[in-house]
Amino acid sequence: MELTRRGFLKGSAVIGSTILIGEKLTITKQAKAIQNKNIKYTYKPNICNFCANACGIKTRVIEVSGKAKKLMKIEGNIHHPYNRGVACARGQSGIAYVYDKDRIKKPLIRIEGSKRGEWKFKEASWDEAFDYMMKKLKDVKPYEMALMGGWQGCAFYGTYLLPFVVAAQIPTLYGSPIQHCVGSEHLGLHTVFGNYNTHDEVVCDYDRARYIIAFRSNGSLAGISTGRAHRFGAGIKNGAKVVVLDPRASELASKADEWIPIKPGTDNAFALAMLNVILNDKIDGKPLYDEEILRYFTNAPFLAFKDEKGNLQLLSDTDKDSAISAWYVYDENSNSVKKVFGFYNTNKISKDGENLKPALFTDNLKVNGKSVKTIFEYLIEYTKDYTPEWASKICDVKTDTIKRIAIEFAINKPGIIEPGIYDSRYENTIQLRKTLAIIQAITSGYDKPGTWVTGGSYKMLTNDFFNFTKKNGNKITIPVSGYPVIDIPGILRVLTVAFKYFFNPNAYEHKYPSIQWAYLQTMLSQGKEATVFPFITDNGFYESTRGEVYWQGKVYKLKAVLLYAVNLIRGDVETQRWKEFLSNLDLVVGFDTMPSDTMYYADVIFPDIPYLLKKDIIFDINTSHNYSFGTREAAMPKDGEEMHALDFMYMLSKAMNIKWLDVMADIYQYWEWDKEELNQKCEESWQKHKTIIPAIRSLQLRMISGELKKYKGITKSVKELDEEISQKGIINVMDREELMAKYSMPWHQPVPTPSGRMEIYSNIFAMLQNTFGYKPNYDPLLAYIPPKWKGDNIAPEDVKLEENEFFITHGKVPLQSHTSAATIDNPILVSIGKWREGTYYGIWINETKAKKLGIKENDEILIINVMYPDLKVKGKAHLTKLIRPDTIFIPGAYGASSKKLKYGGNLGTPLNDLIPYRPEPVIGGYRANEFTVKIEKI
Amino acid sequence: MEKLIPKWVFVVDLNSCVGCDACMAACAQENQTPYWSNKWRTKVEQIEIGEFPEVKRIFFPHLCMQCQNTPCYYACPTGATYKTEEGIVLVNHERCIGCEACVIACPYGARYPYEKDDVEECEKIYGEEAKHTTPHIDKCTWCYHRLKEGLEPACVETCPTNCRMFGDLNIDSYVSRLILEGKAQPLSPQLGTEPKVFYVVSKETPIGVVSHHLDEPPYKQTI
Repeated sequence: MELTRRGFLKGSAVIGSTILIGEKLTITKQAKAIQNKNIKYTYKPNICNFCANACGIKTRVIEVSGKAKKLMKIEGNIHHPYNRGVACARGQSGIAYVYDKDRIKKPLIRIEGSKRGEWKFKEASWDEAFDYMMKKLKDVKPYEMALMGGWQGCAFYGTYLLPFVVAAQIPTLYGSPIQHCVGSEHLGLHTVFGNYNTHDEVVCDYDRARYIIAFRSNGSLAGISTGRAHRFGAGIKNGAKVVVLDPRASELASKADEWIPIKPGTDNAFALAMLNVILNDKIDGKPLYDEEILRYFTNAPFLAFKDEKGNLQLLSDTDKDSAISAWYVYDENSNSVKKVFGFYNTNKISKDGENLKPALFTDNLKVNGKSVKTIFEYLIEYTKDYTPEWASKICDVKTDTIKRIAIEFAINKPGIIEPGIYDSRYENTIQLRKTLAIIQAITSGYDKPGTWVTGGSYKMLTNDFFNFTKKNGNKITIPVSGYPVIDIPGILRVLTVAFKYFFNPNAYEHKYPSIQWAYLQTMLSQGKEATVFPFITDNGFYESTRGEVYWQGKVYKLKAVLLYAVNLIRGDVETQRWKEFLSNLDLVVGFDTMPSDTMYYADVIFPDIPYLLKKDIIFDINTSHNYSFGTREAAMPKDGEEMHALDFMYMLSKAMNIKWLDVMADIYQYWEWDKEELNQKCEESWQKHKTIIPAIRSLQLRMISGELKKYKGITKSVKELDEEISQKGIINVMDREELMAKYSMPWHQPVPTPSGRMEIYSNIFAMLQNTFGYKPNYDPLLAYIPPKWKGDNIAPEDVKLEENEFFITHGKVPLQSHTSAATIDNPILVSIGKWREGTYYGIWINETKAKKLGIKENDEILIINVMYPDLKVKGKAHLTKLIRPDTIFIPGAYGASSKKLKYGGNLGTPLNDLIPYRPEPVIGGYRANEFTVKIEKI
Repeated sequence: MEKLIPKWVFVVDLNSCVGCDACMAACAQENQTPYWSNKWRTKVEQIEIGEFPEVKRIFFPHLCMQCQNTPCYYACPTGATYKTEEGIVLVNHERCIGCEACVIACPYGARYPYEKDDVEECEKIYGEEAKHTTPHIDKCTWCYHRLKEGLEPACVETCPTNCRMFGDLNIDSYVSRLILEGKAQPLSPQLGTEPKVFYVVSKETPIGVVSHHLDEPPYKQTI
C-alpha cells in the first residue's frame, strides 16, 4: 500500500542529490536569483533529536554558489527503516530551534556574586570556561561528582558516557528517563522479556496485528512515536481492532474501536482479570493460552517451591561461580524429573541432550524431599481470585467487557498489548506491565510477525552473547563476567553494570559506591525503606547535599554535577527540592543548547551542537527491525562555539588525566576497537580538526564493512560506506525477514533474561526478594497493588470523592517531548499548541461536572494535592466531554518558567510541581497520579 | 501517445488520523504560512460527538478542496485567482487586491488574508527565501510547486499514519480506487462545488458529522 501511494509520482527526491527550484514561482526576487542559476537545494540526512525515538530525517538546505546558506525544511528520510519517510510535528520543526535566538551558542560563566537561579551570566571563551570548571573541580573527589544525563545522553551516547564515568571512577550516574520514561514503566516488561536497550529495542509490528490493546500509552503511539504511529496507521487500515483503556479520550483513544474510560490507576486489576480468563476459560475445549510457547520457551514448566519464609523459589543447581547450571522440569516423555540448561532459549532438550516435553501440570511431585509444582500451576493459583467480577468493581468496567476483551485478544492472533511509555504512574505500574507482558508472551508471543518485534542490531548483539554462553556451558553469572559489559544485551547489561560499577564499593580505588546505593544502605541501617534497585535513579541526591547519606560511617556528599541535556527542575518531581539540591552544590556544570529552567542553576554552561548542525558518530539503530546503521550529517556549519558532547568528554578526559578511550575499548567491543589505534586516531583527529568524531566514525565504518562482508558477502571500503551513509543517512546490513528467520527470540536464541527464556517467574525480582525481603512490588510472579489515592489503608472501591475533588491523570501530547526546552520553546509547536489552546495548555475537566462547579472554559483554577496540600499548581480549565467526571487530566511537559524561553515559557501547567517526591520501592518511579486533587476557582 | 493531464485527487482517511498535527507543521514551513498569526492553510479540527461515556473524539483534517466548480474563482474580481491546467486553484499574489470576496465565497473556509505584518514577519524569518513578499489572500495549493517536481504535497509526505493520501485518477492506485469505488466521499456535495478532496469515514463518523462541523461557529471563528 505504501509503495502504491508513494509510487504514483515518479522521481521523488534522492537525498544528497540536488534539485533546481521549480520554474513556476512568481516571486520576483526568487525568480531573479534562480536566473543566476547558482541556487540549489541539497538534502542532508540527520537523526531527529526532538525526542528519543531517533527518527531518520533529511534537512533541505539552500545553497548559493555551492555554499550552504539557510536551512529550509525538514522531511522524513525514506531510507530510514523506523519512520520510513514520515516525520511528526516536532520532527518537522527543528529548523526553528536552530534559529531560535534563545539558544546557547557560547560558553557562559555565572557572574561572581550572583546567585544560582538568577540567570546572571557572562559570555566566555572555551578556555576561560573550561579553566573555570577545572579549577573548581580540583578539590572534588570522583565520588563527590555525578554525571546527570537526560534522554538525549541515554538514547545516543549512553554507551560512551559509561566508559567515561568508569574511567573517571565516578560511581554516580543519573539518567532522568529511568524514572520518567523507561524504568518505572518498562521494568515490568523487561523482567519477562529481558530487553532493556535504550529507546527502544522493541517496535511492535502493528502493520500485521489483528488486535491491539493499549493501556493508556498515548505517548508510544499517537502522542507520538512516529515510526510506531506509522505502523499503527497501517494496522488500522489492514483491519486491526483497537481497544484503548484510558480515563480520557487521548489521541490514541480517538482511534479505538472500543474506548474504555477505566477508572484511573486500576488497570492492574483489569490486566489480572484478563490473565485469569486466559488461564481458565476454554474455547471449543481448547485453552486460550499457547501451550507450546509455555512449555518450551518460558520458565512456566520450571519446578518451584515455597521456602520457609513462604517465598516462591525455583529449583536449581548452582555451580562454584554461583552461576545457575540447571533448572528442573517434569518431563512427560519419560515421566521423570529432568534438568535443563541454566541459560538457553528452549526447554526442548535436557542437559543430557534428551528430547523433552516439559509438563505444565504435576501431581503431588516431590524433588529432593521438597514438594514442588510448576510455575504455571502457581500462576493459576496466584490469579484465581482475580476474576472479572472482582476487577469490575475496582475498574468501573463491566464484567462482561473484561471477559470479552480477554477472549477476543487471546483468539484474534497475532495481537499486541502496547508496551507503553510515559504516562500516568502508580506504585502498581511495574506489576501492571509485568502482567501484560505475561499475557503477551502466552498468547500471541514475542518477536513474531504481528507481535512485539525486537530490533535488528539487538538480535545481533544477543547472537554474539549466545555464542559466548554456548561456549561456557550454557550458563551465566550475575553480574555477567568474562564479557565486555556494554556488549551484554538487554537487562543483563543493566544488572551487570549496576552490580559491577554502581552498587559495588570495591569497583574503584576510593571504595565508594554510587550515592544511590549508599543512600539505600543508609536507609536500611536506619530501619527505613528505599528504592532497592536504584539504577541511575535520583535517589539520595538531595539527601546527600543535606548531609543525610552515609558510607562507612562518614557523611557522603555530592559536591559537583555535570548536567548533560537534562531538565531536572521540570523533569523531576517537586521543583523546589531540585532547586535546593542544585543550590547546595559546590559546582554545577551545564552542557546544553537551551536556557532551560535547570540551566538557570548552573555555574558554567557549555554549548552543545544542535543536531541539525552536527556531524555525528554512527549509531546502530535499535528501533529498526532491520540490522542497520545511521548517522547525522551537518546541514550547515555550526554558527557559534558549540561542541560535540563526545569532544567535550575527550577534552575532559585529557584534563582529568583519565583513560576514557582505553576503558571504552575494554568494555564496549561492539565496534571492535583496537585500543592503541583508537587513541592514536582520535588524537590525530583532535589535533587536526578539534574533534574526534571523524576518527570514531571511520573505525565504526570498518566494523560495518566487516559485517557486510560476513553476512551479505558484499565488499565495500570504508570510503565507499562513508559516502553512502553521508548521502542516505543509513547503511542497511540485513533485512527484517532474514533476521526473523534466523535470530528471532526466544525461537532461535535466548532472550536476555537470567534464564534465557521468557520469564513468567522473574529471576530478577527473585533476586530482590531474596536480598531485601518480600514485597508485592517485586513479587517474582505477580501481585495486585491497588492505587492508593488516600493512603495505604483505603481500598480503591471504597474511596469517596468530595464535590470538588478528582482523581488525576497525565499523559504525553504529540507536540512535546519530555520536558525538553527545545520543543517547549519552538515557535511553530507553540503556535500549533496555542491554536489547540485548551486541549494542550489547559486542564481537562468533564464539561457537565465543571458546570456544576461553576467553572467555565479558560477559567483560572488552582489544583491542590489533597494528600500533600503544599503542592499546588495553577492552570486554565478546559471543558470537555472526553474525560470521566471524576478525573482531571494535565498534559505533560508544559509549564516551563524560564524567562529566557521567549516563545514557550510560562505556558501550560507544570505538572511536576503537583507531584510529591515519593518513589516506588523497586526502581524509584514516581507515583505521579496516586493522590486526589481539589479544584478551586481563582 | 499524448501525455494525459493529471487528475489529481486528495484522500483523507479519518480512521487513521491521530491528530498529531505533523501536517500543519510541514505545511507552515513548506509554504511559509503565518503560524505566528495563527493562520494555516491546512488544519486538523477536533470534534467531540455524543456525551460521556458514549463520546467520540474525531480528528478532521481539511485543506483547500480544489473544487472543479470553483466559487472563489468566480468571486475574484481581478483575476488574481486562476486555475492551472490540472485544475489547481492558485492566487497571483501581485494581482490580488485583498478584497476578500473569495474568502466569503469559499464554503470550506480555506482562504485567509496574508497581511502586511505577516509579510514582514515572513521576510524576517526566511530572508531572501521569503515566498510572500506582498500582502494577498492565501490558500492551500496542494503544494503545486512540489507536484511539478514529482513530489507529494508536504502534508501528505509527512503524515505519520498515512491518513492523507494523494493520487491521480488517471492511474490505478489505492487512492483512485477509494474514490472510484465510492469508499471516499466529498464534503458537502450538495453545494455542487465538486471538491477533489475525498474523505474515508467510518460508521461512527458519517460524512455529515464533519460536513456539518464546517458550519459550526468554532470552526468559522478559527479561520
